[in-house]
Amino acid sequence: MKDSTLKKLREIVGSQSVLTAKEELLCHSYDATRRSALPEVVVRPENVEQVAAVARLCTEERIPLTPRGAGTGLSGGSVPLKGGVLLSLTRMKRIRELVLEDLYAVVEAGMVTEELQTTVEASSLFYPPDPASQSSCTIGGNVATSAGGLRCLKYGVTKNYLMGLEAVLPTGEVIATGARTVKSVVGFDLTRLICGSEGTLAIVTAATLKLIPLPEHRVTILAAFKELEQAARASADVISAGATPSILEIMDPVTVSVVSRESETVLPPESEGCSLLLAEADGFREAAEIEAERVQKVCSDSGAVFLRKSSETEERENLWQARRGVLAALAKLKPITILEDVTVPRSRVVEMIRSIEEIGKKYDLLVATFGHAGDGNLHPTILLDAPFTEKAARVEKAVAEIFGKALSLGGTLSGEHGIGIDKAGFLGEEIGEHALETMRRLKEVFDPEGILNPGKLFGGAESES
Amino acid sequence: MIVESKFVYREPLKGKYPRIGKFSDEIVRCIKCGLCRAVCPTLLETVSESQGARGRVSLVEAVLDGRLSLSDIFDDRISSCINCKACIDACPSGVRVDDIILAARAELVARGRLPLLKRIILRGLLKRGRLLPPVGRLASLVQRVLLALSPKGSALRLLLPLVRIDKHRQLPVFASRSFREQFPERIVPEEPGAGLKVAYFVGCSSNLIYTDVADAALKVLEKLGVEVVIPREQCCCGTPMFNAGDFETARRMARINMEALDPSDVDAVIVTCASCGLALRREYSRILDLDTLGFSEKVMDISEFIVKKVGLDALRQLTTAPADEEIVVTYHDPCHLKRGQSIQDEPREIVRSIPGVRFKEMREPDRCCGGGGLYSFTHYEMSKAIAAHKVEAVRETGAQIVLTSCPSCIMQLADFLSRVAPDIKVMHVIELLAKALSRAAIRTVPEEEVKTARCG
Repeated sequence: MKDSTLKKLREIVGSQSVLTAKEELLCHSYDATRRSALPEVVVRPENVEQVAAVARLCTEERIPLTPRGAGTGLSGGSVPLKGGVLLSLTRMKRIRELVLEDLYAVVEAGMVTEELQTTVEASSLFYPPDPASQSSCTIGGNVATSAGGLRCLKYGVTKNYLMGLEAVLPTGEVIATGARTVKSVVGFDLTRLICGSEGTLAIVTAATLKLIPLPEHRVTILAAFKELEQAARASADVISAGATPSILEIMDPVTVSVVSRESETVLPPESEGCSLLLAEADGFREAAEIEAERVQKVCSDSGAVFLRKSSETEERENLWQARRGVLAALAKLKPITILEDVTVPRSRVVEMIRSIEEIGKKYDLLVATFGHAGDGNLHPTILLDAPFTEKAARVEKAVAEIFGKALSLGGTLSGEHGIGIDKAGFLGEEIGEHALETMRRLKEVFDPEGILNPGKLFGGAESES
Repeated sequence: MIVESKFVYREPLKGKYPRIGKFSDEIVRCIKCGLCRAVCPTLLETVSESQGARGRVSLVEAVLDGRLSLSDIFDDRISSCINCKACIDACPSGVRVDDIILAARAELVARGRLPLLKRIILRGLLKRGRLLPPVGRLASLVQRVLLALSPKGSALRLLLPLVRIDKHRQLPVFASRSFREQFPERIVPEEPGAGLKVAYFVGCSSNLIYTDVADAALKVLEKLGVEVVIPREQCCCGTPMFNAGDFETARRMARINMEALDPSDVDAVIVTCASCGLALRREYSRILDLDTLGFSEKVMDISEFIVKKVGLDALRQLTTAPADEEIVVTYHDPCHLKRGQSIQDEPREIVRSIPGVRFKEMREPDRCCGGGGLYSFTHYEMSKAIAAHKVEAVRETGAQIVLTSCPSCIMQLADFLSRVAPDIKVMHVIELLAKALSRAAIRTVPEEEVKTARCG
């Protein structure tokens, strides 16, 4: 990078916030996919004006610009594939406004999701999106990927809680999208266009987030089934029976056995060799209890060999520990975990699970499947030792086949992690040539020089360090 | 196309970096998920990736596979870890970040990167246990003269920054006589209770600065009818040395201590310092590669010993309210006790068993206080920033006394509480228990039995 450019960057954000040391570059080169690429400089702005000035400079000098939050993404979205400027937004972490009577909060991009949740819960309000990384990930990254989580089934994903955005265009203009009202139909919905665009259209600097009342009661149900298909079928039947639990999770026998063996969770001994469904009903006390009973009945009718219901905080926590400990347990078993994110219509979950099992067998790979059965979002996870060079080709084929199957079932490549780098080559396959072309043209409108997060969504980036 | 370039595997240079190389399997298990960002105190203060657990592990990984050299900035980021172990609890894969960091420090030290001041303190003073009591006496004298001359407003305090110490600091005062100079090597209770016998590993802080802690431990053990030996040859546990990456010196300390504290003759080796306990129990074998079989299993924190070996029922029969009015207390979990040794219930159970004491849990009781032994001197600004959260949490409880189980935490809490809440006392759990037991007469040691205890 030219010295004159670095000088300008220092003038914009101050020299303390322009990092060029190799050590700093390395620490901003990766996300949770373990993909990595070195930026040429890390810039840490503290306000929207600085972000705008940096963006303008990058467009003028045609320098790649990659926004980054906490770097916990699972698709390579914040990896600076083409080098250039890595824009770290973690210093912008204030809650600008919390308006209790109108049920919204305006928060900056670097705000940690769980911090926001804790803050609003103190006022008996609720911000539902709960990606697994919620203790570390930031709102900016959540908006960029429209992050989901366990509670999506009832509460939806990040985009369902967006009322508006403050965003910086690559050319340096600051735009405000949306409104602070429950309803608003004023032109194109730029809010939801930018949401999920993975930092390719604009840099999100703040979001106006919808809040809802905190549910007063929660009931957790654990059901064990002899067959994985029974569990999957039961999850579909729960929905057909008119219940909408906030969470409905599935774990296959591989996952269950690893969890029982590797982590200190208290899965009941009856669950050995079984597949599990884990559900939570919430809301007003009576409603949540009725809903929980209905879930129990469906599970029992579907052949559950073991059932447990709890509304005690501690016991519930123990049960959820089993679910939250899944990736941990898998990672303890094998150092490399390739976590996929395919999503199919609810009614096709059984077929998808069966196919994943077959594909695993076909390529002789150890695959553990768990995920959000209630919304059809599965996380088949391939477990490997490092290095796995001799298996790489088989892994690649297996993943491609899983994607293909999901699409053939009317599903989608990613429920909540995003396309990023990993699935860039498959985007056209899902959305078709014309939709892809429309996306490309939209990208040009926002980002005429193509500087913003290059190599993501559309692919076309090969360099890696 | 998708997976091929996904994981670039680089062969670790184990030959070049044997100390880090030993943990290469541990390093590979970090999946870079970033969940440690939520708990790493230095990351939370700086919001800077290179000042967090994941960043540090990535830097060590980069050194190990040849992408980075053992640079000054690497040294800085590795040194700024306070070793609170919060990341290990938060890590889904349970990566031992602490071991990786210490190994990196050892690698730095092996290349002559131990700063002169630390070298003098670690290899010159602490290492030679024999030297310490006289040095402590001298320091005590100098301190008392200086403090007498320099009360809070004095101009002399302005000189403190010259030796890189904040003029607002409340520094620990060295005792005029070390604990081990005051007591004989063997103390037999008048009324043996369950016939238990322990060896007491005193540790530098309780021996030289917080002799009240060691005093209290003796009083409690005597009252409980436990025979105590205080082996003379014991010396510093070695934590400051291996924490700085000086494994060689630490190993020598460890060997002296393991020889001095003969576990075969006692029911337990007792410690009153969380860091000493962690060193004796785990780090001697894990970090220093010593064979501690038969030794480590005998080491117990004093609260753990009381609850498990003496029992709370026996304790309850002996305790009375330590003051006329109810005292409200709270408890701070030392990192090296809770995460280091999985001990969190025992100190609380003891406190709850004392009549006339109301226990109030603070917010995030196991959040690091920022002390970290020498850390509060080498990284004062960071230490101060971390302490601010703890001070706030303590104040919110309205407690009159904050209890803990580690002299290093006592030093830190006393320092920072004295500035904003001087009325809140800081005490070791065992000190409060000693007060609760003190209604009954405690046998004082006859003057003629006092011998000058020396160590290694």
